[in-house]
Parts: sequence; C-alpha cells; structure tokens
Amino acid sequence: MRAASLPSTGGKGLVLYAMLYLAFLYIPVLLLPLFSFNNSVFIAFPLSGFTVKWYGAMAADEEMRAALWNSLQVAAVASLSSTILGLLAAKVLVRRVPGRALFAGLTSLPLFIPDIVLAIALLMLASKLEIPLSLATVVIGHIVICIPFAVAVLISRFHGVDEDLEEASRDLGENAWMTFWRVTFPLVLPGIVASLLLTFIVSFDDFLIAFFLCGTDTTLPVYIWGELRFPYKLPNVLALGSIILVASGSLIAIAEWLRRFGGGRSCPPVRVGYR
Amino acid sequence: MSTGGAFIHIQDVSKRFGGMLAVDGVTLNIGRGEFFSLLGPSGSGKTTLLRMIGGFAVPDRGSISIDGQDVTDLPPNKRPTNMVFQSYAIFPHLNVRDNIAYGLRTERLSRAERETRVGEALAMIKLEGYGERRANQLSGGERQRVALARALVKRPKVLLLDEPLGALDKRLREAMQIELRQLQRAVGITFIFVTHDQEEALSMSDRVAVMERGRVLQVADPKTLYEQPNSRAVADFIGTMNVFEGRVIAVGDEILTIQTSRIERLEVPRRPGAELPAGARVLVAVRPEKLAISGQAPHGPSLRGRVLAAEYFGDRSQFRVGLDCSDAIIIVIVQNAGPCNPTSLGQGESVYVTLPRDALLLLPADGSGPS
Amino acid sequence: MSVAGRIEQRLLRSEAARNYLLISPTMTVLVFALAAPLALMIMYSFWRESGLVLDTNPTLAQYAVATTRAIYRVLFLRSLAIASLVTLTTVVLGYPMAYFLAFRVKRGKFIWLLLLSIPFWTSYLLRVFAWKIILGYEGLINSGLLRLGLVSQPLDFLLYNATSVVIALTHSYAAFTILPIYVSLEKIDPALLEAAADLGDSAFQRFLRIVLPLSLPGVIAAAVLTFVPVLGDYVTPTLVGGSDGLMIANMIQVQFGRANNWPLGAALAVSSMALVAVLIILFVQAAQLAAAKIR
Repeated sequence: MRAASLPSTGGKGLVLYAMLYLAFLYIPVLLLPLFSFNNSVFIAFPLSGFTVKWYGAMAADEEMRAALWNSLQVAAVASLSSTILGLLAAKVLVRRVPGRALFAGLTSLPLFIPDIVLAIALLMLASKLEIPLSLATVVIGHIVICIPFAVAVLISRFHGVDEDLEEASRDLGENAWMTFWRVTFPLVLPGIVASLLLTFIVSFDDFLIAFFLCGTDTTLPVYIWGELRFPYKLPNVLALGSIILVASGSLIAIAEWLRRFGGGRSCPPVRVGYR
Repeated sequence: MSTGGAFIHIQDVSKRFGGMLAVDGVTLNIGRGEFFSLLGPSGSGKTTLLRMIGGFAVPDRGSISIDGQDVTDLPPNKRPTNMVFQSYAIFPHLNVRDNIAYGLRTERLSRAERETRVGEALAMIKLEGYGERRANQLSGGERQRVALARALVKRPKVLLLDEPLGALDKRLREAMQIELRQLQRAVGITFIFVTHDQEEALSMSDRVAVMERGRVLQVADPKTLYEQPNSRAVADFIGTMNVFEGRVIAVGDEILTIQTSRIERLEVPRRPGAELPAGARVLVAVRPEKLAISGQAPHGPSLRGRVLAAEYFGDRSQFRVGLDCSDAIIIVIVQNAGPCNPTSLGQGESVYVTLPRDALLLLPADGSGPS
Repeated sequence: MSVAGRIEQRLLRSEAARNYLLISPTMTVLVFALAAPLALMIMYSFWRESGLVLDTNPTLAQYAVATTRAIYRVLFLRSLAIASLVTLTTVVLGYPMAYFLAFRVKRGKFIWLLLLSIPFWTSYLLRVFAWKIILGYEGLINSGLLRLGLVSQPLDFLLYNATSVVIALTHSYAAFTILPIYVSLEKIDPALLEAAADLGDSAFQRFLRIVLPLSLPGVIAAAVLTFVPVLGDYVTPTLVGGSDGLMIANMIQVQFGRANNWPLGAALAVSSMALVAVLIILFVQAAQLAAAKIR
C-alpha cells in the first residue's frame, strides 16, 4: 500500500522512542495487577510474596457485587440504545442530506463538552422535571455520551458499503424493510457489534455522570471511588481493577478487530465515471 | 394516455437536480425487443433518464409507460424493469448463486423452479461451477456477468444497463459487446443501454438516441446517425467530421453551390426537404474517410495542400492537411492497404485532396461564431 | 391514480423525507437529553439561590461572582495553565509516535493501534489512582529512592499539587491524542513526498514542508479534543491534586454538593465553556495562520 521507497526522518531513534512511549503508557497501568497479587496491604516496594486472597475478598464483597451488577445493567441498556440510535443516525449521515452538518454537529457535540458540564446540566433538568435520580437517569446520561462513539464506528463501517447495493436490492423486487434485513444489516453487523462493545465500555467506565446522577444505587466506578478513601481496602480495589483491565482490553480488541476486518466487505466497489 | 403504440413511451420527461436541469423535456419511443442505446458525454442526462425508467428517480414532469402501463410513480421493485448497475453492486456477503437468486424471493417460485432458473442463468453467462464463489473472488468481467444474470433471471420486460462495460479493458470490452448483443437477440428482451462510447453504441444497437445537456439531439439507427447526422453536435460526437461554414450562392435543380470561407466553391447535392434559399448560411460537412489523398494531382477537381501531421494507426493513416487556398485544415483518413498508398506521404509533403461531391453533407448552421 | 395519492407517493418516496424520519429518534434524544439540559443550565446561571427558594429573576450576579472572586479567577487560570500544558505535552510527545505509526510501521499497524488504545479504555479512575501509588509519600518512587539510599526522607512534593495533576493527565491522554494526528498522517499521499524529493527536498525538508502542514488538521483536532476534557476534569485533581492542584471542575462540584448553589455552579460551567470556546477559536486561527506561512 505504501511504497515508502523514500527514507523518512527519524531512523532508529524513532523505534526506541516508540518503545519508551509504550512503556510510559503501560508501566503505571501494570502496577495494578502487580500489586493485586502482592501479599501486603501497603502498596510499596519491596514485594511481599504472591497471593490471590485479595481477589477472594473482593469477590465476597456484597456491596461490590451489587455495584457491579448495576453497572452491567446500565452499560447493557446504554450500549444497546446508543448503538440503535447511532445506527439510524449513521445511515443518514453518510448520504448527502440537507442539514447534514447540523445533525453531525449535534451528534458529536458531547465530545466537546466536559463530562462535568453535561452531568450538572442533566442534574438540573432531572431536578426541574422532578425526576428522581436512579440508574435510569444514569442510563440517559450514558446514552448521550455514547452516541458520538456509536456514530463514529458505524459511519466508518457504512463507508465500506456500496450505495448501489440497496438500489440493486430494490430493483430486484425487495421493499425497503426487506432490503434492510437482507443487504444492509448483514453488511453493517460487524460495525454494530463493535459499537455495542465500545459503548458498553464507555458506559461501564464512566464515573462522573454516574456520580452526579445515580441516587442511591451506585455503579461500580462510584463504588470504587468510595473505597479509595480506605487504605486497607486498596488491594481489593486493585484486584477489581486488574480484572476490569483484562476484560475491557479483550472487549476493545474484539471490537476493533470486528470494525476493521469483519467479513463481507472486502470487495471494493467498482467506481467508474460519475454518477 | 396515448402511448403512440410504442412498447416504452417516454413523454416530455424533465428532472432537475438543485439548480441544474439534468433531463429537459425528453420524448422517446422504444420498441419491443429493441437494443436501444442512450449515447452522450458526461452530464448529458442519459444516466438520469435511465434511472427514471428504472424507478430510482422520479421525473419532475412528464410520464413513462411500459407495455401500456404507466410506471411514472412506481418504485423500482414494482416495475417490469431490472438494472445492471455501473458498479455491478454484487452483494459481497452472498456467493454467486445467492446473488443470482436474490430477486427470486419475491417471484414466488417453487424451490425446484428457482434452482432451475439459477442453473440456466449460470450456464447463460458461462460461469457454471462458480456458484459458491464470493464477489471478491471474481474478476471485473465475471462480476459484470453475474450482475447481468441476476437481472435477467427475473425475466424483466426491459433490461437497463448503466455503462456496464466501462471498467473492462479494451479486449474484454469488445468481446462482451458481441456477447451482449447475441444475448439480447437470444432472449428477445428490450435492452436500454447507456454509454459515452459512440463506437460501442453504433456496433451494438438497433437504434441510438444521442443526448447532450439533457436533450435528445437525434434518434436513429447507427447507419443513419453516422451518414446523416442532423446537426453539428451529433456529427462531432459520432466519429470525426470536417466542417466548414459557408453561404449558399446558387440554387440549382440538383446542386447547391456553396461559398465557404475556407474552401472556394463546393457543389453539394441538394437533398429533398431542406429549404435553403440563396444567401442562407449552412455548414458543409464531410467524413475524413470519404476523402482521397495523393502525392500527384489526380484526374478531376482536387484541392492542393501540405501535410501538417501524419499519424500511422496500423490499418489506416490520418493526415492533417493545410490547404493552399486558405488556412483551412482538413482531416483525411485512408486505409493503408488501399489504392492511395498513403504511407509514402510524410509531413511537409505537397498533396492533393479529393472531395467527392456525394460525400458532402449539409448541416444546419448553429449560429455560433466564426470557426 | 388520484392527485392526492400521487402526491403522497412522491412524498413517501422522497429520499429527504425518509432520511429525516430515520434520524429523528436520535435527534429527539439529543435535543431532550443534551440541548435542553444545556439550555436549562444556561438559564440557571442567570438565577439566584435565596434561602431554600430559587429566585428566577434574571440576574448577572453569578457571573459577577464567577469572574471577580479571587478563588475562581485563580482556579480558572490554573485550569487553563494545566490544560494548555497537558495539551502541549501530549501533542508534542504524541506526534513522533503518530509519525512512527504512519510511516515506519508496515504490517503491524493494527496491533500497535490496539496496544495504544487498550490503556485508554480501561478504568480511568484506577489509572489516575495508579499515579497516586507511584507519587505518594509512601509510594513507589519514594520507597524505591529510600531503599536505594538516594534520599534519607521521602520527597513530599511529588504528590498533591499541580505538577502531579499535569503528570497524571498527560499519562491519561497520551494515547488518545495520537489518534487524530495518526489519521491525518495516514492520509498523506506518498506520491506527494516522491514529488518533493524529485524537486530537490531532503528528508527533513520534506517533513517540514509537506508532512507537517498536511498533518496540521489532525494536530488541531488532537489539541482541541484533549484540551476540552482536560480542562473540565474532576477525578484527577481530586485524587492527586491536593489543595494546590484543584481545578475548576472541583469548584463546580462543590456548588452541587456542600455549598448547594446551583446557579453559581451553572455560571461557572458556562463561563468555562465560553472561555474554552473563545480560546479554541483563537488557537485554530493562529495555527492556520502559522501553517499558511510554510512554503
């Protein structure tokens, strides 16, 4: 794809730089699993031997389990909703529609507003409309922040799908609904799954919006936030964090793989002349 | 609504996109079983017109009827037409067999009938054994054939083809042209074929509609279009044409004498129907291959000039000759194997060009500035 | 077909109408859950809390407080400074990485991108917390230094100040900032570089005259997409900022917690967003002006 017959600037120094960069990124992160297996309540060197007791303690923690379950529910609902909404929006945003700039602007607006602003704004609305704070209000907040991600993933997937395919399906006798099921949906499916995974993680990991909007039922990040005040509970938290690290890492890997390589679209459309 | 008895009747159809008038009041009749081409450059409206016949665009004005049925407002899946798209639009998530069978779901056939039809279609496009392959495992030509089979398997009354051969290389394209023509004759379906390649249109079609800027300039069979273009625009688009501006100076029983600004006097056969009084402005046109060229003065009237450029195309040679009598340039094409022995004529040489009177055409003066 | 029927057919087939219908659920949600709350927040910023009652007579009192009270001015400025520093650092550090990925990696691009993405997507809270572990009084750096005998007492300036906030935020956003830059570098047609070489440029000149200007949109996007969330960050200053590292988000949060002054909180939020918007516009203009100077 890239001929790269030309020397680019940098040389060996660049490779070293890249390695150091990755190290900088990962070393702090890898401390979490490291100390989650450390047989000591104090997070300090030297290490004190290997143990899995923190994992056991964490698993037994009722409050943690409840918060985890809440987070899973919220993330499931938020990811499904934002993916569906993102799918509808992406389908329209790839075409030339009058007003597209406005729609595109609105769907990407959450990216340009700090979470705290969004959180307090939703809090104000909930209060004004006298809607009680609960997991439901958290879901709404999460849907708003997830939509830009869903739209981005799905638009990138739609771009690989030839416009003519839907017209061909209609020409061959199918109405709009069957065209969606037989042609559009199968081709966009990898993107849909990728969007579901990505938005799940965004929702699962969110702290600030949940913090402001959750009422009495907490989500996992809010629970962790509470636990950070107690030093003796730190290793439990680290154990939890390590599991989350591995789980989200895997989900992201799958999501990215699907977005790029999900089958059925490796046939480049034949683009000749103009339309 | 009167269809004039034609199989496909397009009545005064117009379509505007934004500020641009893509199709401007087009009226056409297409016969049953005809291989009909829409020929024109980019932007001529030919693809838009095709899409309106297929149901992918709705005319702003006018109507379209097929076999007596008004289809103007029908969606594509309700029309007796099927389209072969320029990009082929092969479904990448289905194999060849499922692509071809795709449209049969709405035809309500038994499974056995479906299988039979798909098998016949594969045989027709000579891709038996390719049934399990996917789109990305097919070459451009193979994909084109699958698109064809997929459309024909539904046995439409009209097949619409949107520049289907544009992406193929020359040799393959020429082979496909012949195949398509034979196929059309075999199945007897009306084909409406869109192309910007005039050689393609001429070689394949029963009749051609030449379009420019949304309008139909001329509709005729290929021979008539070539030999008797009705305007400079058509003449220029189809093949090469020498054109000279002039004025009628004498009107005889059979001959009009034209004084052109570039070549002295030309005598042109008078054709019935053209009322051209003395003083009228006209264009005199002649095809380059109807002219003769030689190094020595021939018997009979000829024009002397000098070869400005000589190009060799293997089977023929093309000369740009600057005429002595004026600053006109005339283009002459001769077969290399013919009697003129053109390969001996090189740049700068003095030559004589013969304009046979019967080869001269008259075209309406288009009112544009001096050539 | 009747005239009315024909009109209806044409409307339903109108592609524009179908598109608006498709996008309406998403737009409705965004209007009610994004636009409306923001509008309400703006309205709140013009109100006032008097006792237990919300006084909705429009007033600029909150804005006066937000802009004149010393503590808020300090926090605004500090937040701007921190956000600018973090943005600058992540962009400058991230550019070579993006360059490496776009031009030097041939076949492993997907793996590299994945490796870069994973840390960013995993528990933000805990990543910031990791820095608390590293920089703390009894944390990793200190215990390491003590063990090695390099210091006799733990360093106490590593944590709970603006510096630790900058470090932690830089780490959080380091991978994120790379992406927009990488995308714009990837788009550069190799033929352009070949043409430049053909016309006499060395590798370094090619970088300066072709690669850098063409990657500018990506750099600007990365800067904006980093600056905005960093400015409004709450978790990092709270966990590692101490009292010297507090940022504007902390002050906003207080108005919705202990202080219970929602209108002031709204005014602070609107002011910071307005400030950010103005700065971004100025920044983008300046960057484009500077880029236009490159020949």
